[in-house]
Amino acid sequence: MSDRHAPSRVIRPACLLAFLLLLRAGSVGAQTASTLFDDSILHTLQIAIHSRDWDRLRSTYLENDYYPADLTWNGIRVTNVGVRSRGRGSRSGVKPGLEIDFARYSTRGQFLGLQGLVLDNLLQDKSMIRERVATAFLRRFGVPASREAFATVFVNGEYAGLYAMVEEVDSGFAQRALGDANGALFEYRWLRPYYGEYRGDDLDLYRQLFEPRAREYDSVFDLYDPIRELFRAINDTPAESFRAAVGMRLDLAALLRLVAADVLLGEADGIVSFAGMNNFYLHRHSTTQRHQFVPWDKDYALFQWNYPITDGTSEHALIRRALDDPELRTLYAGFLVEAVESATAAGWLEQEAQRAYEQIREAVLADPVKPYTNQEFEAEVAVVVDLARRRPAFVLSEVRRLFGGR
Amino acid sequence: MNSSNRARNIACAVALIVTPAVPAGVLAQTTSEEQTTSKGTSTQDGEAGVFRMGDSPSLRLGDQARVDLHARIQADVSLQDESGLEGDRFAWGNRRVGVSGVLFKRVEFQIERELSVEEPWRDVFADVRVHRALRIRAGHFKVPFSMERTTSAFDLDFIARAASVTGISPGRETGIMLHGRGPRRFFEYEFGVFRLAEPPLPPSVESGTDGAMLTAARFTFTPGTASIGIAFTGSRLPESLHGLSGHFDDDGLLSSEDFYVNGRRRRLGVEGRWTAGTLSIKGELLRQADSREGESVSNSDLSDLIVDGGYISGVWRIVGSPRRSRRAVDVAVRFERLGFHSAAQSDAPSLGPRADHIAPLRQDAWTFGGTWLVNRWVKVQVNAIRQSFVDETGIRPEIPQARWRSLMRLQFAM
Repeated sequence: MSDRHAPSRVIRPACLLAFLLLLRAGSVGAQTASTLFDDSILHTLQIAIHSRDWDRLRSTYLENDYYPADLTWNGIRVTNVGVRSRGRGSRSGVKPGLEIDFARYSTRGQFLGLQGLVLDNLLQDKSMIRERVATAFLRRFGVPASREAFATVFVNGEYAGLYAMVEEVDSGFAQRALGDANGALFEYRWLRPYYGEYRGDDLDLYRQLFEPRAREYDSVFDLYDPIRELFRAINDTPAESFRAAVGMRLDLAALLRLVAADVLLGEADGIVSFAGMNNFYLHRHSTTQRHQFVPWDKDYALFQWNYPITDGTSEHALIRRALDDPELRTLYAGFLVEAVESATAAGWLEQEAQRAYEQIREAVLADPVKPYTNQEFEAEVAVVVDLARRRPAFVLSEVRRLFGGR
Repeated sequence: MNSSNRARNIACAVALIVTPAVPAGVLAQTTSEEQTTSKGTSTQDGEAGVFRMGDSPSLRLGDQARVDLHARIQADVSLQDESGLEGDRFAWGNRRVGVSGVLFKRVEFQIERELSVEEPWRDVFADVRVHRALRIRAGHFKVPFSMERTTSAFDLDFIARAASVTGISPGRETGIMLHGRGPRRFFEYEFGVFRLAEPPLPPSVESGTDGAMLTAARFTFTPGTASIGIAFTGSRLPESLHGLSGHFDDDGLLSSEDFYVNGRRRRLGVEGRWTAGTLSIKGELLRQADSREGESVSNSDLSDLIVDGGYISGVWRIVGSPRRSRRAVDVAVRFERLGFHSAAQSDAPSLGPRADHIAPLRQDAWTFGGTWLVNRWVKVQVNAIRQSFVDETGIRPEIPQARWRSLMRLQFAM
């Protein structure tokens, strides 16, 4: 071949390479956080972590030390993410719950627009489907809640079990679900049963309970004075002005919608629970300064089909006073009925539980580190499916009994 | 430390250091032959006596033995510090006592101890002269690497060595070294093997590599008034987390940034010096490469962690003899740089301790100084340092602002 062909010998492979890169870029570009949290498929996550780091993470699983790792999902490899053990009651050195921090080692770090990702080890739910089904219902019912999808997780090539990928409640979540990335955001920290009573003027009393997850560098006063005033208004405002006074500090309709959804789900460990408030974030809108509750951790939902729908409400200062207001009480009753209708439309709740079960069954049976037997898993799924079938009718009958009307 | 204690300390230091300056002023009128401790001739017991007072007290046994006694002390006072770190304004620098001398005209020795609890023993060695071109030194002494590192802390042009020198050069170790020089000091060489008392960095796992060997070599050529040199070291490096130190951050250049290293540590340094009358210019370029064997997230090798830097400084003697002088005033300026990065720079930069592409960071510093040699024993130095950080990738959450620091050192050395 003569030399005049030399350029074409270079250009052709270059064009081919460029084309392949474009195809690759296109396929990567098509991936979004919505694809990651697509709960219609069982995802696969590969984690590469130094073997010594993985041993350390598991042996010191009560610590929050971060370790560097690479994460691969759907052909996309994210390098140098931070991984740590996470959870409260679910902490484990055998099957550790994991928190992935994409920005741990670079302020530009992100993955599909996410700063972080929770890998829930599903240790507190033998059925493994409760939280996934519950959060799906919350979102269906119009409650801002984390997106969630199942994933089989491989660590250094070895199957590490079935996990749930859970969207972090952070400023990115606040932008997507609440339309405000600049507001203050707090994670509620359960220390002892707290039913929303006014704790006093000392801001530290509120700082103990609400851990900032955004605007961490704001002053203590800026962060906690609005929370103190919210609980002061909840407890001290006369009944006739309760709705207006509290409503300017808290989205009461969103709160009652969330509580109604929790009631439908039989949630025993949420904002209204047997041991005070638990498992939520509190967001304060940067413009309106109104607060909104965001649910978190639904491992204790869908447990008992006839769980009382008023359990915990009489002790709960906020809910008790809200339901003393006739207009809010009517609104709440309507939300309860709406929740029943949403759960039963085309048998949604039961079908969703069944679908989740079928999606993960093989992965659960193969999970080498789950702390319960396959028989226990199957039996617990049956409990959830049965609840999904019976709970809506029970709630509806209780609503009619307690609230009257339809 | 409360203010009264601080004031008492400062007063003590000033008294300790300045008081000798008064009689020293008288003693300083003696002849210029009194140059060094080995040449001191202030006789207390006649020409054949056993005690002489030169730059330091000296005991002599004819020409078969000479033992010089040394006491050296430094006190630092912080004049200004924008770092925001709360700390004492007064601090002791080096406080040392020791002896040195010559036995049988062929064996030189030095024993020096720091008056502190940590690492009390400094130089403890014997040096046998076989020939001008061959000397053998054994004991605990400075590894031959870096012109400034091997210069005594009491003879520096500035209060502190350049951060690149302290950050990259090894310190004292126990070993044996061959050294010597050619005619008219045209060349000098040093070659030593050292046993590290501790690993170069605290191991992050049980490694059993205490006492790793370090090899060092240094060659210097001095054609005329200029001098150039090259040096290198090599040693084993157990798995460790490595951060860097700077002028302001004793715990690390940025104390949160540590990277796993494992395998070998190699250092390379080049140095140069040029003197013309009252002006002296010198500089060094230093580089340290730490391998990272098996340290990636998949247990494979990572590219080397590189720490490099250097300095260039100039000293102008505005009062006093250009050569060694007992009373002089110098002004000096130094620019220095110290940074780290990885050999590989193809991946996305990261601060992850197992990142192949480490986001580079460097610190630059200007130091402006003045030195007043009050007499043969007393020296006063004042330095103003401006340090700034450069994060080229911009991926760090925050970088310290450029800041000034100034301090004064009072030194007595006998």
